[in-house]
Amino acid sequence: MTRPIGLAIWGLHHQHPRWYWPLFAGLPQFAPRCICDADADFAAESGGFFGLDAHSDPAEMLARDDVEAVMVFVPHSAMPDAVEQCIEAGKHVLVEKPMGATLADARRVARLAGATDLKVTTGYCWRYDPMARKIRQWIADGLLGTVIHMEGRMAAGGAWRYVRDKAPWMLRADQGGGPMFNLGVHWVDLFHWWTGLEVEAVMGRTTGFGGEPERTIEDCAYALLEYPGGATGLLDIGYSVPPSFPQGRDLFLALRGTLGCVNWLPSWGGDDHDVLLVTEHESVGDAKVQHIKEPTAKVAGYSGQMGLDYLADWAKAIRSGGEVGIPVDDGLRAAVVADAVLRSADEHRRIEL
Amino acid sequence: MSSSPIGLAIWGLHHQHPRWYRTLLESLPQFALRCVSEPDAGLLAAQADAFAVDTCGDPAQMLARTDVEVVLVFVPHREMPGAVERCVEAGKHVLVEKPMGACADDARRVARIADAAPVKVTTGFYWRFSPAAGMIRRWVAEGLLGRLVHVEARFNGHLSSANSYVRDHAPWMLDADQGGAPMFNIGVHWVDLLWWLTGLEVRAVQGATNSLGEPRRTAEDNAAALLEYHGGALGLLDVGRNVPAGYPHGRDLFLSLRGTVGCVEWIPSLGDENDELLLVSEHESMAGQNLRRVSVAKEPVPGYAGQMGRDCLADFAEAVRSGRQVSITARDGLRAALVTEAVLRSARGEGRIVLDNTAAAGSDAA
Repeated sequence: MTRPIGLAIWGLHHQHPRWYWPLFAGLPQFAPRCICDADADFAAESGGFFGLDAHSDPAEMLARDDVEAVMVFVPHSAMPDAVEQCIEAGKHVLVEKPMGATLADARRVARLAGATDLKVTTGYCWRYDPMARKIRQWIADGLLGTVIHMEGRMAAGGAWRYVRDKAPWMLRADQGGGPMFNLGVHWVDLFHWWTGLEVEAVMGRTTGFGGEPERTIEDCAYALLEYPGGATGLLDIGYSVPPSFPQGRDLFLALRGTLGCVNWLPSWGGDDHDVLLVTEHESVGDAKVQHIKEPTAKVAGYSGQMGLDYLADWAKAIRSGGEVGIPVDDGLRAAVVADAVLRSADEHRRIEL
Repeated sequence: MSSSPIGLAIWGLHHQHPRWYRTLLESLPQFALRCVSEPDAGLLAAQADAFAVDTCGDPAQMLARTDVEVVLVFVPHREMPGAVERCVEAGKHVLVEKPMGACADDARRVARIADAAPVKVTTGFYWRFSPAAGMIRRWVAEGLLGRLVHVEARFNGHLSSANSYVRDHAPWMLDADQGGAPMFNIGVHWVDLLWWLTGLEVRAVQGATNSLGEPRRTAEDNAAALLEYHGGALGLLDVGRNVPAGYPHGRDLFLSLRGTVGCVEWIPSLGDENDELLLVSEHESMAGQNLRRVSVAKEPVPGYAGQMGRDCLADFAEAVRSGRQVSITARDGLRAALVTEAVLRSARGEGRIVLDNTAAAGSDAA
């Protein structure tokens, strides 16, 4: 058996390290070695949770011979430097999306990744969702015809969660912690991955609820996307659903084309995927309307099965030398769009990309 | 108050709705259909049997009838203001089909006529009479959503619905200059309903549109809009014809509202099937049952918009007989038309459009 990849987790003041942790029970490709956070007390405390060595000095972590890959969960503004340090230390890197606090940060990460043979990737895990892959196949098979409109809704719970999960920096707009830059990138990426369409212009608006916790990020962000050929897209991204909302977030994706359409209620917490496919494509015969309830594998940890699969794919790239499944350039593409939406919202004008 | 049926005339057959309303009238003893008027003699003759009432090619004859108190106006949009004016001058109450004209200026003209009219003038925003809509409106009023921050509304018909306008003798609906395209013709329903549910006024809009295929048309097929409301709420509006003909119930309908305390998602039904609601709220009154799924049944009523259409017309009849103000005013129609026209102007390259809401409020006296 191939030896497992020694792994470090860098940055604990983030929601995801603890959420990713259960995944590693199903990932023998990795051997977690240590955690690292400049907050020495928090690192020490977390060492107990992870059962790993705890470093407060990243240089120590990066000097370890038994660490080949690093998952970077530092505050967004610290991400480019962290990626650079990892690469200089010869470590493969998974930097959590959005790869920085700003578009400039994401560009820098993309340049760093482009200049190295190390496997640098980012976490657009939805590409690994089986239903997302099925939809991509439907599009490729022509079941939707020419795509003319897309909609993506990702309304997660309130910003208070970041305080709860010891990531209060996410409440700062200058950290790129707001929903459009932090979450909207998922759907922007998925739209592109499905269709190959590139956004050519955006119109955006944002709003906030006020109240506690104090924050400079938006609570809700909306975008109208324009694609070549006249296709349009709508995004509704926010930290805006009540705590009791099913699965803790309101997820919805829709694509409409000249031959068919698909509506998808993605599963997040282990519920079934709920899909409606309606198509006039000859290949479906009489099954023009298909309601599909697809169970998801019950996998503990961040993003469940898709999280497992994209980490496994990264491990495969590391060991084989092949391409990563999610290139950093794709992360940059999504960040360009999300940044433009926020600029449009600030400047009250349509922005061409 | 007289309980005799209200004599009714239908004006204009080059429209999808007259025959659909005809069926609805069978559930409305408050009305008695007297005649149908359409200058296209061939079409009038072809549809005469379907209505089984007097016909007249000249609307002047219809308007001169003393047994006609109310006129339902279904002429091409561009002709609507003139038709409303003639009805009012003839002393007839009027239901002018939305959007009350081919453009916001037409709707404004209708609103001014209505303001000055001694008769009742209304338009067909029947969704206000949906039992599910009533439920949502109460929830909003009771504070179950808190301060509203988000709205979304989708109304998408099937891809080939443009063909249906040709089939139903209303090809003018495919002409952008007639205001027949989805955003101006259909979007007004949702714009009005969102206002009726929330009281929020649209402050600004941005929009984009696209068009497809045959039959050739200048009107858009699909329109998407960002809405900004006074008070900070934002919204998305998606109106078009872009789902396959086999789509369940032929349309993709959806509304959602989100607030600081709760949210509601509604899958509306235009037919007799149930409306489906999801209410999630942290309001204290919901303690122990923060999440509710409600399936709202409607009474099966044949004809246009079923129970909603019937109740909308019944409400109009009651206003006519009692003399009270109509529930749906022409100013309401204008409000919605101003928003949808602004979306289309934005889509045509005017960028973000900030609205002047004074017109809808009635502050634009001629």
